[in-house]
Amino acid sequence: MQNLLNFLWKNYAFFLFLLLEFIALSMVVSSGHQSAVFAYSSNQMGGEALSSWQGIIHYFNLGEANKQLVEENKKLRAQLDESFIDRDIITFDSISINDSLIKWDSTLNKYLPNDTNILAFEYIGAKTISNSTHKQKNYLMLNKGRAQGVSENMGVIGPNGIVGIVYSTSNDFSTVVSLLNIKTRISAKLKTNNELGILQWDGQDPNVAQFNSIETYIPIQVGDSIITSGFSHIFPEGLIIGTIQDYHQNTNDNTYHISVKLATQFSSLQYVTIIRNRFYEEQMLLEKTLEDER
Amino acid sequence: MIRSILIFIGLIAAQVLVFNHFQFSGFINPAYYILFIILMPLNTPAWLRLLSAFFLGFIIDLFSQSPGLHTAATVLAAFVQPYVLQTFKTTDADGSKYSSLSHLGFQWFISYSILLILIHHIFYFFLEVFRFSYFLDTLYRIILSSFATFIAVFLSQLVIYKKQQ
Repeated sequence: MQNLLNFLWKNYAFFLFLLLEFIALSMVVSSGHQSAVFAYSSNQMGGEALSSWQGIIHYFNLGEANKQLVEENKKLRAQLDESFIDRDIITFDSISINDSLIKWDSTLNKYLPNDTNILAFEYIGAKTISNSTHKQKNYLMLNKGRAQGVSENMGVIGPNGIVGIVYSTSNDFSTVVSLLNIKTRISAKLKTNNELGILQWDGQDPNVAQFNSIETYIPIQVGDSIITSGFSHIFPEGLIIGTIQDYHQNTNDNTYHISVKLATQFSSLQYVTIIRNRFYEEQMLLEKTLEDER
Repeated sequence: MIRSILIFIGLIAAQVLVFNHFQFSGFINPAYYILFIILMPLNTPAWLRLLSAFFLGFIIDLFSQSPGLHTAATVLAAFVQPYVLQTFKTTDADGSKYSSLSHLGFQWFISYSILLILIHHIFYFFLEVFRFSYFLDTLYRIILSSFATFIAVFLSQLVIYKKQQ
């Protein structure tokens, strides 16, 4: 016993080292992206400290940011209708239904649809507080959080293309899993023929992502656009992700390995837009019931 | 003691506010805060050495949103620091002083800090990738980033050295 205690005491530095390494490594491997506690404190603490500093950094890049915003405005003006879904006008006379899509009109004494065009996606502007492109798992932090209506699984787009998905929120800040994160998968399609595939990043070049599962009989060309499919219910359909830079056939199956030049310039990203799908919960619930029945 | 705490805070600020924004081509990201481990006096008690390294890494992790990565690498660097320091020993030096350029001299400081930075960066980058499939890419990252870190550490030490002359 005495010997054991002596041994432990003499080598306490080594055991302390092992203990601390163990704590650090378990932080590295715990959960998919980050542990919840870490994400929250990292959000709130890091956010507050970094936001004032970022104000100064942003000031030096205003020119570039302005240029991107002007470009975005131009594009938005050309496609204002894109965020609306068209619905047929159906009125219910006898049945009373509590639905967000219809409302009771007391003057006409019947249910009317809220609108013929239902706004499905809402947008909140935000500014990046921190951003990285050099890691394997890159995250961004934005200056909007729960208090401003941001919640998990909202899409984030930049002036030129999509950026990522909100991963966690604190009161005033939110963390976004960047498209430049080896764990990110985005449902995407070819603009020319609507062929679906999965877009992900291999952790190498911050300007290039990989688009997989397109069969080789499908004609593709360098320069073709890759857009969001809208099937994840996070992004509206048809947002630009990037253009095909290069492709070759995979050796082990009949699919292409496609390199996509990303539309978003992650290194100079400052102003982004958070997208809220008003029907996200509803759509996910439907999908979940489907999965449960299988 | 107070001086060490000031260095601790100053290095965190430098890392978070300046060096974390260096992202040339995605391959160079210096870990300047490692200077805190480099400067540790030889006879710092082991518990203080390890615990301060742990908190240093943890705070850097909080700001870089990389749970555990910097912590693990920094604790390792702090653990091997005294052995690395003594490996390159050229003269008898006062173990209670900071292991700085002005205290150790050029030859000792340069070889010692390069090896320590390399150990830290190799562990950090392989832990980050967590696989060996992009071995060459990771190696490239390690070499470029270690070089950038060393230049930053050496230049800042050189300024202090020149002032003291």
